[in-house]
Amino acid sequence: MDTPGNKAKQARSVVSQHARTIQLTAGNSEEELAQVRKALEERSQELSQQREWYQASYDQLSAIINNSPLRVFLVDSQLRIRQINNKARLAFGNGENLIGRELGELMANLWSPLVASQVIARFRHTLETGETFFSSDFPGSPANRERPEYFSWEIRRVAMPDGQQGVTCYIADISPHILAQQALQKSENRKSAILSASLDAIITMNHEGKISDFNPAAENIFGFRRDDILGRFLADLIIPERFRQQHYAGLARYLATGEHRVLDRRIEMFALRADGQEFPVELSISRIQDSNPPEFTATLRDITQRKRAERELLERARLAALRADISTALTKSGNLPAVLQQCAQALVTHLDGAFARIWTFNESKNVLELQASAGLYTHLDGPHGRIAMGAYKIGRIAQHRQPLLTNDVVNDENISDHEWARKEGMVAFAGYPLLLENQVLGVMAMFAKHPLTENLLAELGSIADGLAQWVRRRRAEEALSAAQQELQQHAANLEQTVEKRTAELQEKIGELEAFSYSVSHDMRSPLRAMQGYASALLEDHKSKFDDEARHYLERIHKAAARMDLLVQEVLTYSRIAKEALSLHPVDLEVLIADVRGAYPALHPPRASIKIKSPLPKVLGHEAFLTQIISNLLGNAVKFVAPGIVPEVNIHGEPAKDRVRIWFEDNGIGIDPAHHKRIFEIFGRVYPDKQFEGTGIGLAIVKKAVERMGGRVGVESQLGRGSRFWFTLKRA
Amino acid sequence: MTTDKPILIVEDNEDDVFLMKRALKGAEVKNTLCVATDGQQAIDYLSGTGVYRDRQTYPLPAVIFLDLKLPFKSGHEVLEWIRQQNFLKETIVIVLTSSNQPVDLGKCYALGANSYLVKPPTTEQLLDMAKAFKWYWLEHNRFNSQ
Repeated sequence: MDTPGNKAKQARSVVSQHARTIQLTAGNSEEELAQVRKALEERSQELSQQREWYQASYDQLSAIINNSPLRVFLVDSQLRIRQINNKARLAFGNGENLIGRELGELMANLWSPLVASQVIARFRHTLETGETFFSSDFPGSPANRERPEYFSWEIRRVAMPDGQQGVTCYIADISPHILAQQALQKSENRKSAILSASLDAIITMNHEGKISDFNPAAENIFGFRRDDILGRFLADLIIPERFRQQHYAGLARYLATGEHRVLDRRIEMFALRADGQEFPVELSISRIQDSNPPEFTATLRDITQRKRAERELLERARLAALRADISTALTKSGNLPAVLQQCAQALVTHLDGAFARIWTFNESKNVLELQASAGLYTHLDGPHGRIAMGAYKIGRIAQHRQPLLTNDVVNDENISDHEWARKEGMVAFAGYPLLLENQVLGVMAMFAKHPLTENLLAELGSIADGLAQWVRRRRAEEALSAAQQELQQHAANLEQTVEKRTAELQEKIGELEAFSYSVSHDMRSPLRAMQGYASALLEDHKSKFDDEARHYLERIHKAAARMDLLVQEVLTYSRIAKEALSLHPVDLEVLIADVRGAYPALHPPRASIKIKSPLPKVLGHEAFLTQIISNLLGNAVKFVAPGIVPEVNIHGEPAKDRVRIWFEDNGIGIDPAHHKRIFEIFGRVYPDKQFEGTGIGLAIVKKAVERMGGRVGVESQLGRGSRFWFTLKRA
Repeated sequence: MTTDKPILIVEDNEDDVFLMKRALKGAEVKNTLCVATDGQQAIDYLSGTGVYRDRQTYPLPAVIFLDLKLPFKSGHEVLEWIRQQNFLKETIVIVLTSSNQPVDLGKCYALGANSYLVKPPTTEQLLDMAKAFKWYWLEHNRFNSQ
């Protein structure tokens, strides 16, 4: 290289030559020579130093240029490489000696002819015109295709040492820069897409409070156009007036102190649409990272729907709670006013009612009676305690069977006291008739200080139905209960009455029995007299009477005797019916023997009475059994065909826990048609002419047997004798 | 056989008195028959009160037929009184009544009656009873001659 070092070297050698020449020509003036030599040495030293300095500078400069990240090279007017640094050398293929090579040729090796010629053209232009050319689109070397490369290049015309013009070329690798730009662009695109696609409004605000970005969703939600709104104050446009002061104060505080209350958390607020309408929003604000001065971005959602849904849910929950409370109240058993009071209280509690009241309809008085009042007013007396059907709004609701609903109480014509409504802040009224099958059972009404929604009114309607049913049922229950009580009362009364009557009856019966007893008894005395005198006449004064008279007297005698017999039997029957009973084990054979012994008519040869021994022992009342035996034997012996000797066979047989005793005779028998009747009092079968008798005998037997806890019956056919039986407890 | 002492019939019903007398007559009872028609009169007679002091005209009876249903004093009361009198303790008292009530029966025996007869309905039966009475009480039964 033609470096200063080389030049200095040349100069030195010239000087040396000159010095030698001088030495040779000068001769003898050594002082002069010495001086000249000294001067030359000094100079030579100077030059050496200079040379060193230049060399050092040159080296340093060389190093700087060689190691530059730029590709630098110099071409002469023939576009031949005169100087080239490492990077450029590398770029051109790192050939050994590139100095002197033609740029065109080097370029043609590595780039397409078109590109090369374009570049060469630029060089020539600069060479000719001296115009500096800069551009950032120098093509990357084809060898490196994997990684995109971007270069900027600058070419200047320079004067060469030899006086010619040359061109220096600087090529800088701006790939990182470009790639960064590209990445930024990509990022910007992505951000744009996100902002565009987002359904939530995304708004960016700068530190002054001005809107710096406004995405399409924000445009939709707020009704502003992005272009119209950018750069304007956010607060003045989309924050409701009453919150603006807060906004500015907060922003100022943050900018001053870094304190914030609203950043990076979910906030619910109200926002303003372009048309001035307020609506609820949910938003979150963040400061943009690394933004200085601070920039803020917020995402925001219109939660009108959600709020509405929440309200509805809340309402539904309250209605459900109300329904539950009312159900509970209606299933409890308490008195009617207490249950209705609970219902009214539930209305006030869950529906935030001001006060609620329930009336029931008293049909007989045609008036609505206040049963429950909850909330502001709880008294039941007062003007609303009794409302006639058709009177006031409550009465009209009942009369027309139509609900009265209004959310504008103060102005509604149906509400009578507007002053009161205004003063108390009443907004809504709902009054429902309690209807069941078109019958009015009462009225339910409520005042509220807030409007009543559709759902709420629907629920009230259904509650009114439920109440109507319950009132009906409760009334029915009460009526039933009252009726039952009455019935019980009647029953008790009846029982009392029955007891009384029974006692009276028993007394009467007792009286009658005593009466009949004493009458019967007393009858015997005149009968005795009748019979006695008739006999006396017949016997003592026989001669005085003719046959006919005697016949009459006999008839009188007989009649009296018969009557006495009847009386005796009646007395016996009543005795059997009344007498105190005591059951003991009885030996029937002994009793039969006694009876047989007492009546001659039962002795042989007049009758034959046989016992099949042993007769089982029975539990009985001796006197009764004696009577029974006496009657049965008496009958058996009496009711025989003329000329026949009566025979009676008596035998007994076990019958489960009882004993059945049979009295079998050979008498005339009894037609089965009469088997029941003969045991009745006066139940005679045969006329008295044929067989004397009172007709009470068997009734006495039946009564006596039954009193001892047994039963009696007969098996018999006409002409075939009779088999009387009775059962008694086994002893 | 005691024929000297009368038989006292205490009976208020005159028919019954007639029939009884007739029956006793038919049974050939020879004793005098006295009649008291009510309880007080019977007591008066037996106690010798008033007109009955005259024991010649009104001697004490050997046998008393006593009805229970009597005016002024009932048969039971009379019986009770009789047995309270020392001098009548051994007098035969036969209750002759239409009542067959066990309570009357029990009371009479408790009060010391010798016998209890129920008035039979027919004259035949009454005659039989009178005959039996005579045979048993007047002919066979021994009286304490004290």
